[in-house]
Amino acid sequence: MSWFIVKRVTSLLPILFGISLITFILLHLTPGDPAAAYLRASHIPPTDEAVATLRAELGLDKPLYIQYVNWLIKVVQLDLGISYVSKNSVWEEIMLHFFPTVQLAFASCIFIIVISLPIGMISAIYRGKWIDQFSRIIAFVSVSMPAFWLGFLLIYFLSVKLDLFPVLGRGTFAHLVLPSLTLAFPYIGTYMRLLRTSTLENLNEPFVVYARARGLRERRIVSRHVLKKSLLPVLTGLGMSLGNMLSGAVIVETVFAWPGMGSLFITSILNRDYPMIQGCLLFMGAIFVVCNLLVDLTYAFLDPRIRWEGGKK
Amino acid sequence: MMGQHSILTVNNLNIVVSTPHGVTQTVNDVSFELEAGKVFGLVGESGSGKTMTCMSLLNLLPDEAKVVEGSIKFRNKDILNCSTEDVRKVRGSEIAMIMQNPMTAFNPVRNIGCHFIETLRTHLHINKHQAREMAMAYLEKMDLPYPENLLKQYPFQLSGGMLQRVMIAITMSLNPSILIADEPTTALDATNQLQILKQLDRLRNEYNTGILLVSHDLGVIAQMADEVAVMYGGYIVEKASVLKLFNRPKHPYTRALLQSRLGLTRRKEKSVKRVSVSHRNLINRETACPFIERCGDADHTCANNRLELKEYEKDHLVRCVKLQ
Ligand SMILES: Nc1ncnc2c1ncn2[C@@H]1O[C@H](COP(=O)(O)OP(=O)(O)OP(=O)(O)O)[C@@H](O)[C@H]1O
Ligand code: SF4
Ligand SMILES: [Mg+2]
Repeated sequence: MSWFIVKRVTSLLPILFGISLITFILLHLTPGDPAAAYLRASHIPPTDEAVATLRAELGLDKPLYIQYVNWLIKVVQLDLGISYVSKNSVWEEIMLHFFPTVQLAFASCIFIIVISLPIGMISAIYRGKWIDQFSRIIAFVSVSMPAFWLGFLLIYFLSVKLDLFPVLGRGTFAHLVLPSLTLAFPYIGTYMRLLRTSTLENLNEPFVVYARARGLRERRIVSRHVLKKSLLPVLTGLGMSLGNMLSGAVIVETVFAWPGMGSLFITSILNRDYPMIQGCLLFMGAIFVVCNLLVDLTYAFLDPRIRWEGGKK
Repeated sequence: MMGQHSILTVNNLNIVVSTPHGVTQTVNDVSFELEAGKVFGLVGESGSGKTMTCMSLLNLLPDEAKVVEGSIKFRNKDILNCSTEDVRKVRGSEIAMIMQNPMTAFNPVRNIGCHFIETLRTHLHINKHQAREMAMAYLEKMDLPYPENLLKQYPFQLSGGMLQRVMIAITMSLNPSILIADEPTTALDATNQLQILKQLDRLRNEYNTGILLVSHDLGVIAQMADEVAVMYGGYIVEKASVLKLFNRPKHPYTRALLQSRLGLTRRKEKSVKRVSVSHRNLINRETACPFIERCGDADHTCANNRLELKEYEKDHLVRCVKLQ
């Protein structure tokens, strides 16, 4: 197992390097001059002279690869530069917005797990019964309903009409409920159906027949044999979704005025705040990679076949 | 026949399978008895209904299949009509089963110990530690080395032969009176086959278990079985003691089966008169012999007589109009 972890972690390094390279190049290929953007953000008229001075100051006149190396050296020290707009450290800004996003993402994950796993499981076991039909409807609604609409509906009914939850913003635990539910909703349907499908597949596997032939109780067969194996595909998806949610939920954050990564990213794009955009992209890339690693490790923990394959080599 | 000694009695079993393409009768009028310490062999080509028959004995048919007629009596229990909980208690402890493919019979994400111990603890009132000790003892009996390690291993780390032996060890540990072995050797190589057959033989001799041995390998049946039934198209077409069946096969299908095994399929077969196409439309599916389209001896009498499994001579039953 420890070998497996070492192997997986070292394989991340080239990926992270690739992400940094792509982030850097992408931004320098897009039209628009960062120096001009900087001046505009600082309310200085971008005259040719001012731009030229600033380019020299920011090191933008050097060859691209030198710029990259300089940038990378700083990045490794977690120095992502200074925001053109707020003039604060990009890293600190990201950290400031990342925590609310983490809160939101984990609360959503809890909603997803608590709602979709039991219903998905039960609708597989009672296939064709009312609970199965019910879950089909939920799934359909959940994947087709736009997040902003659901967000407004929840605000209107639960906050405005019934006054159960605060309308906007962040602070108490109650503030977290509506945005995380809104964020979780589309995933709930997906994972419900995914778990249902994989459970159904497993219920027809010979190992279930053999478990029954050994006289095991149905409850044990489902909880000890079918559930664990059926969770594997769900887990992969869930890890990816977590990565998605951790890199910010633009719409949900906008609807609920949630100060997370999504709104930070969008604002920096609108402002052409180059260091901030770069920082966000790199950070999100890293988050995705780490989430993937976590999925792999959990997978290996649950599925011995992978664990051993990893250990042998 | 020898009714009093039998532990499991199957009588007039009929199973239908419903698929999107329609309903098919897959097992027809199957009757047999299993006795303590005896091996009952069931042979037949692929799709003849052997597995269906086996699964029904534990009331474990897939959702599409259903017993529409007949009864299965285990001692005094009516397997098909007693409560789910009652059948569950019989499974594993009284009637055990060995699966055709050992590689898929175990849950890949649970280790051998988990499978073994949970089975023991389902049927016996023992704690984990006792179950573990017991599991090791039985694995050792199966000549499986390092039982302690084995319990920690996962199915994919063992060979098919070893897994099959683990299944037999699990079976033995609960000392059931009946073992259903559905093609226990098909997925194995020759050396492993021999090993497994030896262990099954032991089970019969030492534990007096009655075994239903399914196979399409006639060699295995000849070596192991006391009594044999040949299935074709869901029917038992011939049933006799192993000696009679192999020495004096009566039914045309059994004869063909034995000939092809000995490599004696004569060229003559080509000239075998088949029921002509025009006649085929006249065949009454309800009453015709299931073997009619491949039978060399077929004629119009075969198409319109409802066939029954009748005594050709004492303890030798055949389903064929020509032999009754
Ligand atoms: N789950 C199923 N759904 C539909 N039809 C089935 C199903 N299982 C079996 N059948 C049909 O039932 C018939 C009997 O199948 P069965 O598995 O009992 O044959 P078998 O004698 O065990 O064959 P084999 O030697 O290949 O194991 C076959 O014709 C098969 O097509
Ligand atoms: S009844 Fe007729 S078709 Fe059927 S096995 Fe006998 S001879 Fe052949
Ligand atoms: Mg079969």
